[in-house]
Amino acid sequence: MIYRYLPEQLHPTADAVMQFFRDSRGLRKMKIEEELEGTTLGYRPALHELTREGYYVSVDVKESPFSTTLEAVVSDCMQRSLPVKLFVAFPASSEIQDYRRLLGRAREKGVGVIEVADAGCQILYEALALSLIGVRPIDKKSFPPKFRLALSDAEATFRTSPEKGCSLIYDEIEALSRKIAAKTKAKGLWKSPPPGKRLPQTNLETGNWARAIDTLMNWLDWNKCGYLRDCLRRVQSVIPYRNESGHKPRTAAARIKRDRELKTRFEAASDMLRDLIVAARPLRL
Amino acid sequence: MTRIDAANAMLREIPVEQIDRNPENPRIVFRPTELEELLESIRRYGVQVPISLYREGSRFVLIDGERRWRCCLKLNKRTIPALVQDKPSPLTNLLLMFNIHALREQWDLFTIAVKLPRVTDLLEHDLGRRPNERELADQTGLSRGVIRRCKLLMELPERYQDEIRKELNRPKAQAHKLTEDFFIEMERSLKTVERALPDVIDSKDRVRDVLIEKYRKATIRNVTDFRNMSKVARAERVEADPGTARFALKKLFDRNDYSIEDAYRDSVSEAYSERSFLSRVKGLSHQLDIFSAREELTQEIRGALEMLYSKVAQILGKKL
Repeated sequence: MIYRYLPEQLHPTADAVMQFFRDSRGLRKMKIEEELEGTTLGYRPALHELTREGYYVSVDVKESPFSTTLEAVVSDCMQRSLPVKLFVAFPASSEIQDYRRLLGRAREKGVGVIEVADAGCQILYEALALSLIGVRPIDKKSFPPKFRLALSDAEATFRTSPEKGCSLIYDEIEALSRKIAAKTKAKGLWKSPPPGKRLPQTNLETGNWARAIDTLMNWLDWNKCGYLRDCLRRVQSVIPYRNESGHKPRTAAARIKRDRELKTRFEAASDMLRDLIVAARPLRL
Repeated sequence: MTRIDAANAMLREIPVEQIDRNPENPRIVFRPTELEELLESIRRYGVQVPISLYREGSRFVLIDGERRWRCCLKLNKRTIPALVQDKPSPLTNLLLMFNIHALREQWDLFTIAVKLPRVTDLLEHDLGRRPNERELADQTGLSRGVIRRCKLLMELPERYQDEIRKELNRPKAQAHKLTEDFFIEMERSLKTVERALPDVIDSKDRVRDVLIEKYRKATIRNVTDFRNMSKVARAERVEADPGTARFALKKLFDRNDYSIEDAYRDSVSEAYSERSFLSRVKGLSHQLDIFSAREELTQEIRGALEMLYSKVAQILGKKL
């Protein structure tokens, strides 16, 4: 292979890792030291290929698992929501100073690490999509303890499957909003039905969520529960996205747009859940 | 013949993708760690010193700045500042790089050594005869000492040259065991042994292998120890027993824990000490002649001479 930047002693490592990606992930058209098409990223990884899912699987080959320059590259990808899954491959024979710290740094930044030995390549850490890494962390201490585990799961899931990560938070919002509906109804906080009519018999706990919230919004007595109005309106507005997984993006530009939306959605959902918890406090759920 | 006219050079921003590396570039080693440091510097501060190029058709060829150019490629920069010069002749092209790199950047000696035969050939073509050492030194900007050291390296069998290449590819910060200096010192010393006691070396490569192994195991501690190996071989110069020296060297050239220090101590150490002593005494005697012509001596000089007189009398008294 022809490398223009990579020093000669690292060529065998790059060749081995290219073979590894071909065999294990079916990446057969990896480009060598070319720019990531359509990104203007100020860095050319040693190898990269744009996958069908719109991610750039990129591999940089170095003598150590991380570097200051990569730190800046990761930061750039995060800020611009570039859908890059970046690996660093290094030869197992390298004498690396500060190995543990560098390995930890790579992991923390979502950079995958591959050790290349004569026996083959071993993935020490899997790469995460850098477009998703920059999501604002949830301040779990600002939530009641019973929510924290679910939020941690949602955060971890978001890094590998952002739609599912969002969905896990929507699960919590749905459960809480249903409880609000049931409790307000039970406590007589709904408007009285017109003479000769009954309150709607919507199944608030297991029935269709949109219908349950619509019913709540129509029947809740806002004179008594005005403090819930804003939050419940926000809940109502996100219901259409509850189970939306959408079409898989096929291009990098579509993936960038999609990941940006998902990041915003995830952050907004966690904010909404916290606000809803606070707003519902008077109900003692 | 090799005059370089840089007056016409123009500073321009050249597209990085229109630049090709110079096939004559003697630099063969790009250490990843050093390249990474330069990459980070250029990422932060840009290219502060323009590279040098010459035009070749619609493209450009590097004269100076391959590492900067490589880093710009890696950093996906569109252009790089460059001084564009006229296309040099093949010899000028090579000599330009020698003068720019070898003097300014302190290339690894081996890097220079590999390209020196090519310079010699091109110069021979220009001169119509083989250039001598002085001419080579003049043209390349290297000292004659460096040229001689390069020649020693190029005379090494290929597998030892490979060892040097391997060592050069390691980061500089790491201990370089088999350096160019190691091979130069060893080769010089072996040449002396071959000249003085030719029957001691049965196979030069076998002896090299033994010495390399001893150096790796730290039986030979320092590359300068080889200078003492030469002294052992030149035992006759100090009137030491060549038979003892021969025995010591043969033992040194076998696989064991016998070091150069041991061989030196067991064969010629005393003779060299005596020679060194005699040489100092002669020097002192000359100094005494100067003082004997003086009418008055300071108290300090007088005290020192009295101490010397007493010690000499004591030694001679014992011997008598």
